[in-house]
This record gives sequence, C-alpha cells and structure tokens, in this order.
Amino acid sequence: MSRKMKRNCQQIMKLLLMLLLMTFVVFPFLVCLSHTFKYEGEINSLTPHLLPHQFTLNNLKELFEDKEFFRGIFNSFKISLITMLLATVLALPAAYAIARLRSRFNPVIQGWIVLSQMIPVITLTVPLYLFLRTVRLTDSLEGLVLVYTIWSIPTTLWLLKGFVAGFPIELEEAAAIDGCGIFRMFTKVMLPNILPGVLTAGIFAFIGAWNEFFFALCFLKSNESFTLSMKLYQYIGLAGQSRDGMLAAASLLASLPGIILFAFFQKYYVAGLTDGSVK
Amino acid sequence: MTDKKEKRKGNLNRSKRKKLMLLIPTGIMILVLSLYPTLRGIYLGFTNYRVGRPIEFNGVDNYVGIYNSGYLGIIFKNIGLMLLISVITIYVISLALALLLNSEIPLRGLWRALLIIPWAVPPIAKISMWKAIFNPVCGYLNAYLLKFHLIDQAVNWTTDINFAKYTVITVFVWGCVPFTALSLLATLQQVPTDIHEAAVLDGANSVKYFRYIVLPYLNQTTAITMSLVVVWIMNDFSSQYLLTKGGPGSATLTPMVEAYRQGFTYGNFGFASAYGNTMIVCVSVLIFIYIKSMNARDKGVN
Repeated sequence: MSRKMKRNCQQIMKLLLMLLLMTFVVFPFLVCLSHTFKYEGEINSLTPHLLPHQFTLNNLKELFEDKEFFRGIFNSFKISLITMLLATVLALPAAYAIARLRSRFNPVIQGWIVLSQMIPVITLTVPLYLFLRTVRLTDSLEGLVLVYTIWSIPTTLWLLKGFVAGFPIELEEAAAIDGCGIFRMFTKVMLPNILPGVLTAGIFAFIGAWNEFFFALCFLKSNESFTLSMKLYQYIGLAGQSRDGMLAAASLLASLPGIILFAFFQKYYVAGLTDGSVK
Repeated sequence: MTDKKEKRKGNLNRSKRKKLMLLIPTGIMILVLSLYPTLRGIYLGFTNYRVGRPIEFNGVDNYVGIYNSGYLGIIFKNIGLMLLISVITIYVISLALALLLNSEIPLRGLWRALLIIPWAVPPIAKISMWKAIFNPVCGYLNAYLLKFHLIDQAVNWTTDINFAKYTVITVFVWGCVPFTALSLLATLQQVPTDIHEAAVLDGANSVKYFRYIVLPYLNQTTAITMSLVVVWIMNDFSSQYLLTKGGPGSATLTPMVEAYRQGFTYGNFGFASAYGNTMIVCVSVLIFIYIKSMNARDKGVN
C-alpha cells in the first residue's frame, strides 16, 4: 500500500515537472494562437488572457486579402521545393560513394562535411554575395535557390550517408551477383528501401529553406522576390501600428508546414544525425 | 570453376571502378559547392573588399581595425556568457525532458508531439511569438509577474541592460531544447533493459544507476548535440537582431550581428569576413578544449 502511494506520489511529481517544462515549450505558440483570433484592442490590453473574450477571424481575413503575403508563400514554396530536389539529387550519389567506398579521400571528405557544419554562416555569405553580384543573381529566386542548395548540402549528405550505411551490404552484393548493374541496383534495390531516409533528408532541406531568414535578408531587395520570412520581417516592422494580430496570424501560417512535417519525420532525422556519426 | 571465380572478381572490380567514378563527381561537387566558397570567405577576411572596389589583400589590417574598434572584447564576452548559460540550461532542461519522456508518464505521446513546436517554427515567427511575451506594455511576462507581485513595475525586457542578455538567452534555449531533448531521448531508448536489471541486482540505487550507467551512455550524443548547439547559437542572428538589435548599447551584440552590420549596412565586406574568421578561431578553440578535456577524462578513468 505505502509502496503504491510512493509510486503515485512520484508519478504526480513527474507530471508536475513535465507540465512546468511544457508550459515553457508551448506558451509562446499559444500566445501566437491567441493573438491570431483576437481583436487588436484586446491584444493591446494591459491584462492579457490566453482565451480571447471576443473571437474574431479578422486577422486571418486581412492576411488573406494581402496578395503580397501569398506571393511570399508561393516564392518560399518554389524555392524550398527546388532546393529540396537539387540537394537530394546532388547529394544522393555522393552519399552512396562516401558510405560504401573505402578510399584515401573518404576520411578527408567526411572530415570536411563535419568541419563545414562548424563554419560560421557569415563566412559563406560574403563570397556567395560576391558571386551572385558577378552573375547578376542577387535579389532573385534563382540566386537564393543556389545559396540554399549550397548551404543544405553538408547536412543532406550527412543524413543520406547514415541511411545508405544502414542498408545491408549483403543485399547489394546479392544484386551484383545476380548481374545487376550499379545503377539498376541503386534504383531498384536500394532506393525503395531507404526511401524514408531520402524523404527525411529532403524534407529537412525543404524546411530549412522555408524557415531561412538570414540569407534572404542579405540577398533580397525587392517585394517581388520576398520569401515568407521576409514578408514576416516586414510585418514585424509594422508591429505597433496595430498589426500585431496580422503578424501573429502570419507567423502561425508560416509555422504550420514545419510543425506538420517535423511531426512525421523528426524520428528519422534524429536517428540519422546521431547514427551517421557512429557508422 | 576458377574461370567463374575470376569472372566474379572482374565484375566486382568493374563495379569498384564504377563506384570510383561516383567519388570523382562527389569530390568535385564538394570542392566547388562547399570547400571553395568557404576558403574564399576566409581569404576575403584578409582583404579590403568593399562593393564596387577591387579586392586587395591587406594582411592583418582588418584584425587590427577590429581590435582598435574596441568591440572585439565586448562581443566575444557577450557571446561567451550567452553560450555558457544557454548550453548549461539547454542541457539540463533537455535531459529532464528526455528522462521524463523515457519513463512511464501519462500522455507521453502528447508531450512528445508538443515538444516539436519550437524546433519547427521559423526563426522570424519565433521572434514574433516572443515579442508578444516580452512586450513591456501588453506582454504576458510583465502581466503575470505584476499580478503575483514578483516585480513592482513593468520591466523593459529587451531594452533594459540588466535583462536584455537573458531575454535573448531565453529565446536561444527555447529554440534548441527540442532537438537536444529528442536526441537524448533516442539514445536513452537504446539503453538495454537488462543493464538496469543487472545494476539493480548489484545493489545500485537509482541515483547510482543514473550516474554510472545512463550518463556515460549519453556521452556521445551529448557531445554531438552540444557542439551543434554551440554552432547554432554562434550563427544565430535573428534572435538578437530582431529583439534587441544588439543593444541596449552593445549588451547583446554578438559577432554575427556585428559582421552583418559591417558587411550589409556599411558595405565593409572585408571586415565582415574578418569577423567570420575570428568566429572560426573561437569555435576551433572551444572544440580543442573540449577534445582535450575528453581525453583527460578518459585517462583519468583508465
């Protein structure tokens, strides 16, 4: 009996600690959610409440009427999708080569991939800016796609390498003995098996580009080429001019793809990132 | 028989050659897309590159300039302090979350799902969310603290020199916790259950079990995630730039913000790259110290 009570007590303590930590984790998001459905007057009230007294869809309506916001979403979607495809297609053969080949260059390449994660963003930003100026691609979506691809390749490569290494080499050899060429083996045997991994790497390149702000701030100038992050940046500039509700609504919409996709794929990502280093 | 074997060997050799053919484009790709821009970025830190002017090598002039500006000490003290507090806080919170999620706790799936939110939110949306909390007039933090009489008057979280650093640190911690917690959780789930049984049989209590079995098991994951966190915070730009603009004064000025200002506000790209180089040195020193301490500890164990 007393043992059971002790156990119950422990459970309650654990739950309380969990609630406390979760409050920290979720609270900012709840505030954003609540702002989205509040009138501007209530947002500026001195005694804020999470539950709106007066529920409104005004902010969302205003946002949906802003054509530039949709252009931002569309730009971001285009850029992220192309980045995802480019990064995966470029990194996949490389990941295969790194995971499966024993050669002198292999440790060098792997070492560089790890090192490149430690390089500050600004070190890449300046030469890329210089390059984009030379080829006249600053302030263009094409230039940004290029930058995002370069920026996401090391992580994509690292993740994919982990997933390829996890594929049993015996199956590959069996396919080779059955007379399967390397290309057919890759597309017919390996790819279907590591597809969740490839998808994970792609999704993370996608969300990385979708969420990215710093490069966009450095390279984009005009409204036509603004990504979603840049649109949000503009709204933050407007905040205080009674646009907080709209900003919250925009932030909420911008966060949704990441939250939904991460919910499905974070497991593979964590596994890939930590396993990739061991293998 | 031998014929067949040789044929097989030939096949394998041929496939090896084909694999080597894969390695060459890989090497070229990494060289062109990753190594070259980085090396160029490092080189630009030793030039006087400004927009519209030819690039000239100027040795260590940039570093002398940075040193003379008086900012160098301030920004590295800022980022050092912020890193130290953030990394410790992130680790403690993440470990607590991972242990809780790894134990039998009601609604585990729900907590796990909610934990993803800060990780998935775009940096700029993150700022807009936290601004609503830190707002000095109608923000939640001041409202709650005033309600429970923990403070007497509203605090300007982003412009008060005593609080601005901690405001930025809070946002750092919030963004980094999910990734580290989930990584630690994934490793915890790999601890074999029979180790626990064996330890209990050997008379270990839960504290000892945690100290001598669970924590060492987490070592590698801790090392990887914490190095990533350090790099992420070093590279973080939006948290300071949009919340405090590096201010008040230079209380939250970090190398990243200063590099951006030098490059994209004043057009002084040589300076910006030079700041990048100082950050590289800084990260290298951190990693060096880390490896040294790891080695020292391993020797101590042996």
